[in-house]
Amino acid sequence: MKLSDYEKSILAGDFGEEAQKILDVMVKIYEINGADDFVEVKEVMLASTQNMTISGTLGMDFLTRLADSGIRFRTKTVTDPVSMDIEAWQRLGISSEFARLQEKAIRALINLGVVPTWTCIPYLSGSIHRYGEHLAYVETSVVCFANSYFGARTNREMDITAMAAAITGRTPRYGLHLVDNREGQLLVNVKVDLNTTSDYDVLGHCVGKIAGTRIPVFKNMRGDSSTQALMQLGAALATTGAVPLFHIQGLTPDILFDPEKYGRRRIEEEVTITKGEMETAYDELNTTRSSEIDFVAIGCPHCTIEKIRKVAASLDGKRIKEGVEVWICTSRTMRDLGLAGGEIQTIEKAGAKVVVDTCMVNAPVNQMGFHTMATDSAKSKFYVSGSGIGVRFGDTGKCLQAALTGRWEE
Amino acid sequence: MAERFQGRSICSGIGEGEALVTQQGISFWGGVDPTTGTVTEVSHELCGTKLTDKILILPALKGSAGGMWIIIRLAKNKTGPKAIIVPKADTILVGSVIMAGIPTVDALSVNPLEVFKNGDWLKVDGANGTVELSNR
Repeated sequence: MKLSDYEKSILAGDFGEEAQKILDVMVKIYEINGADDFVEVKEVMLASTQNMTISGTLGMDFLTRLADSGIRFRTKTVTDPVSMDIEAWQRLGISSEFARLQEKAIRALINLGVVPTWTCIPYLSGSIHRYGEHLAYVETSVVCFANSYFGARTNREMDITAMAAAITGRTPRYGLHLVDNREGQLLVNVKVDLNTTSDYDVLGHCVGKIAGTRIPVFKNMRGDSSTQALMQLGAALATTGAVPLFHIQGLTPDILFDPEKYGRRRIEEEVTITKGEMETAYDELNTTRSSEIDFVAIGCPHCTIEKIRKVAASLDGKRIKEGVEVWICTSRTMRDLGLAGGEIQTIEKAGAKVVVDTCMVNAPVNQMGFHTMATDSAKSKFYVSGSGIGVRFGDTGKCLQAALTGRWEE
Repeated sequence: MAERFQGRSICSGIGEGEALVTQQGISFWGGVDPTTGTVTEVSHELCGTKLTDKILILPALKGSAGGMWIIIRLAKNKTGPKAIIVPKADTILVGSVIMAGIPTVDALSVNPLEVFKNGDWLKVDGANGTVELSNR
């Protein structure tokens, strides 16, 4: 393993214990994976601060000490959502004690040199990549998106290995950085029409469970397969499974580049998804039969501007039912576009909150007293139901209807 | 006489204690109480068991990568295991044990899940990647 003088100096402890441990992990990951080289990383994406904040002050103290050591991220590093709207946390019912801890983590990350995107859709804030570029991403939905949609190359990193890439600018060449490990393994025959983006959530929920850690190849995909739809598909696949990459015949770049290699050579199983499988998955996504809705959350992954416009059109001139909390979660970039176009004002006027920097998965919604959440996202169903809130899943229109009436229509 | 097994070094340090073997992966995030070191995952075969001062032998970590922070807290609180042995370490395990400083060995010449039994006295040398079994 050829290490630079800078890396050797960090490993010797010249920048403190935190950076030293981060590089210790990098060296060990290199060894256990039998890597024979490093790849240059174009961009790093860190995980949400949620894990660090909920596990006490340990994570925050770690980040603060790392930033105080003088270490700086050399590679462009973008960030996942934090656990609050950084400017408007008070109106989400977040305590000031909680906010202080978040602010500490945010300050440390900015000192380390991150681009403060605070979103799970950084690709709509400039994180676009050429085919074959190497990345080191943590956020699982973006790992799936970047590998599949751009044909960029990233493993499913953890905070520490991503920070190693941010500090050194490189990562061991193993896993999905090697083209032979990107070949599809599970052929998925889609014998069902995909009419809304939520159908892609249901498909992802269903296939993620079958795939596990394997790479699925979709054939006969009949739907619009818009960017929004593929975001939803990847997020759901990476939730019920540990899927890092998917291929769609005739659509995604790896399989267009070499259909034989990525789509056929290593297929070990074929499954067919019919209406029956989709209905079962849909039922699983509805964890309660209760039709009283007190929380509606849209935007997991964060809403694109197209989705914001759709929400605004549905809520224009209407009024959210009293007692129902409605979050339309998005990035600052998308929010600013929506402010310029007037959609954000329309949504807020109806009584919904446009929430940035965070979402229903990362904010402490389990402490806000909600009973039943309506959502159009399979990923958010998984994380929110884990905290004891009942979930109603349906397409965006159905969720917005529930926001207006406070009731879920079967 | 002690029996010696050669494996691979994952995290250096020496840990000695009683073996605690589980055939089920552990999710530290939401599955282990960092204050008491007790497994809390209801459906886990170790539910209610303390990991404190044990040599923990398990197939793998499961669940969220955020489990790393729980493992670090266990180590800081001295409620965690003295050492860890796994058949094959993955990225999240490597990151977690190095950050927590828990001596860890993998890739032994034998399957640790079959060879070691609860109550065996084990000495793990993380730097040399060895495990010594005595007092059976």
